[in-house]
Amino acid sequence: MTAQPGTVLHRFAARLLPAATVERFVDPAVADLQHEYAAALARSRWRARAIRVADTVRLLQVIGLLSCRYGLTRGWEHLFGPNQLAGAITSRTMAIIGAFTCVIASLMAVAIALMTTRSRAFAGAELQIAVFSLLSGFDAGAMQFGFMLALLIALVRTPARRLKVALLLGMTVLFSAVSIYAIGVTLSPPVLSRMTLADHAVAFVQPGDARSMLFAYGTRIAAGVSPLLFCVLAFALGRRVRIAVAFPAAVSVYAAYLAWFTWLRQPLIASSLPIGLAVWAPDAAIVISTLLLSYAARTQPGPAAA
Amino acid sequence: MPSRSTRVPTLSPKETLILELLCSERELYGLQLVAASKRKLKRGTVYVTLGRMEDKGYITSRLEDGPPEMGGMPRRIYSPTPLGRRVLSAWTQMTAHLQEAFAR
Repeated sequence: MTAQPGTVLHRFAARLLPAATVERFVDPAVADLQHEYAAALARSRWRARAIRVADTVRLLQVIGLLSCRYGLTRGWEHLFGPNQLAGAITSRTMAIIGAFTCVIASLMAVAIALMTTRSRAFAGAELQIAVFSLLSGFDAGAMQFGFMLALLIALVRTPARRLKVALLLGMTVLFSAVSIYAIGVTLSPPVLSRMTLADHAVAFVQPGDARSMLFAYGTRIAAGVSPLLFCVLAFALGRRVRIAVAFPAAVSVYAAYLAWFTWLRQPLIASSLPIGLAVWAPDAAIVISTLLLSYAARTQPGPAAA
Repeated sequence: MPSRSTRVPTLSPKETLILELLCSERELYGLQLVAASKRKLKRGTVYVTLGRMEDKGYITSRLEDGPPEMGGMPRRIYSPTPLGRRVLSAWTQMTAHLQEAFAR
């Protein structure tokens, strides 16, 4: 016996969306689809099949629309509402990033000191890297490292099986992203070492090659940061709501981050507007939201600790 | 900011169309609304619009079992509420008044 059309999608929607949403929006669509299919089947089998295919596509559209709307609404609630996990994770991440960056910067300071005392040639590139690591906190994989460690802590502490699966999934994605990022950095020319600090300052206000180089450097950072964003959101939302629901919200932020970075690239290279709008503003937005979440996490007990 | 009770009711073009169809036919299914709208309503979005209108109190719905030989899930049939009728009437009058005022 053939299953009624829309049964599988209805089951899928029931897993993805809350029961009230399914009852109000998906059930009528499925019921209409089944009715139309049954009416067409009485006249022509081929027409019924065509209707089934077309209506399934439309049903997918309904479910997609609802999951995006629901995911974004719930995402907002769980990021900024009480008892959010994102705050706990990001505050730990920031603490680890800070510590990790300080360690890297200290090691670099020692290396520079040793190099200069031995009178070896010193181009200044190492100093730039150290300064930028300290200033941004996102350089040299510190953010990835910090976030991975924060995830690991959450993974060890949580008793929930579903959450453990989500964490493992997030870490797998993250490790893959970091690996790809690392390969990309290894193969790409050392953009930063070819630029002096003065070049960076000039690039902010004048069009020219230096701006393109800044973008090349920014792309390397964005390549690592954007999958991270995706993981942070998907994980944080997946903790409190269904993992599948967290997906559309995380994808939306991920896409917004990449769009911000890429769409402004060419106009900013050609214009005299501040280039930081595209290169550092997305990262600054992350820093601001992280600080907000950290502040909220300070006053609210995180679910992992609960 | 006006309170919820004093907030002016609004109608989007799609909501206006749905209310017009429901007021003329009394009760319709989602699919019938799409068919009657002559492609102005899309099947992918009509249920979301109908849900929003239910939230606003413009329409109401009930489940209706289909013929037993057809099987399947019970269908949801929509009808306008008295508030929906009043809003549509006021909206139509306002639109006509605006058209008249700006046609001069």
